[in-house]
Amino acid sequence: MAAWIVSNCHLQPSKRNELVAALKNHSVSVDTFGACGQKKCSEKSHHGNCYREIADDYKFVFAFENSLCQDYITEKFYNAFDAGMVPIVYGLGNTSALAPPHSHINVFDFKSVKELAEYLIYLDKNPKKYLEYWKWRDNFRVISSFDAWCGACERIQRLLALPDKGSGHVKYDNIESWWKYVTTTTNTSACIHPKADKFDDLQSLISSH
Amino acid sequence: MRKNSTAPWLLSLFESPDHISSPFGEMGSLFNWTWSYRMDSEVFIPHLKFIPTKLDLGNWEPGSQAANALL
Repeated sequence: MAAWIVSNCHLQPSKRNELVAALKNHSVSVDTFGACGQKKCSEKSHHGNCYREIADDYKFVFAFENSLCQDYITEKFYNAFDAGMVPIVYGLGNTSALAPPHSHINVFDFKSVKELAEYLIYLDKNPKKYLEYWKWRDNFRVISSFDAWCGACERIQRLLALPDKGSGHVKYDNIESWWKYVTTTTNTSACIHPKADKFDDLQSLISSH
Repeated sequence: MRKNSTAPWLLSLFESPDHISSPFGEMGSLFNWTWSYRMDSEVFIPHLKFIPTKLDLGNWEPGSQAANALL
């Protein structure tokens, strides 16, 4: 039903291991691949290839970040779409701004891990409902921004063309306050650190942010 | 540090604050721009892009923008 590809099982301020355990407790069947799992992708397979290798066997794949920080999202989200699985996202990336509606499932759209588990089991048993998560493919195709250096270069050229070359920015007078907080004017921390037993109230977890 | 340079300084950060927490010290006021996963960074390049595969031809008229896009 669901796969989890994970290479680092120790580094996890987000407590994602515990979230996976909680989903299993609520009868979601999960196979774990990679350094920390019972299952392995083939030797030659690495990064995105592992996703493609297993895509025929799983409806969902976890895109669970090791940190819950403002906007933080990694290539796992792309790998899921690229391989042809529905990503279940656990993180603070703005996924609804990055991807079409009804293309993915966000853990924080649910009240509790129990409710999330029940929804996944419902989709597993109702192919019609599950396939609604594939409809976006009628209208979009997904590409990787693998050429990030080129994109950055273009963006920098545009910044340099601005009259003040961005020198008027006061945002980074103290870069640490920008980096550690959601904005420079609030002291809401950019990251949240769940306690392992807090997954039965996902909304109170996210409301602290 | 930047006294002798008028070039803008760009800081790129790809790990989360949970993993880059050490104080920036005197570098804290050095940078004009950032390149990171934060959407309020001047350089923000998401890992993925969704490209529309169909043009909306609902208001199709010869000479319209949609029509020109097809030519």
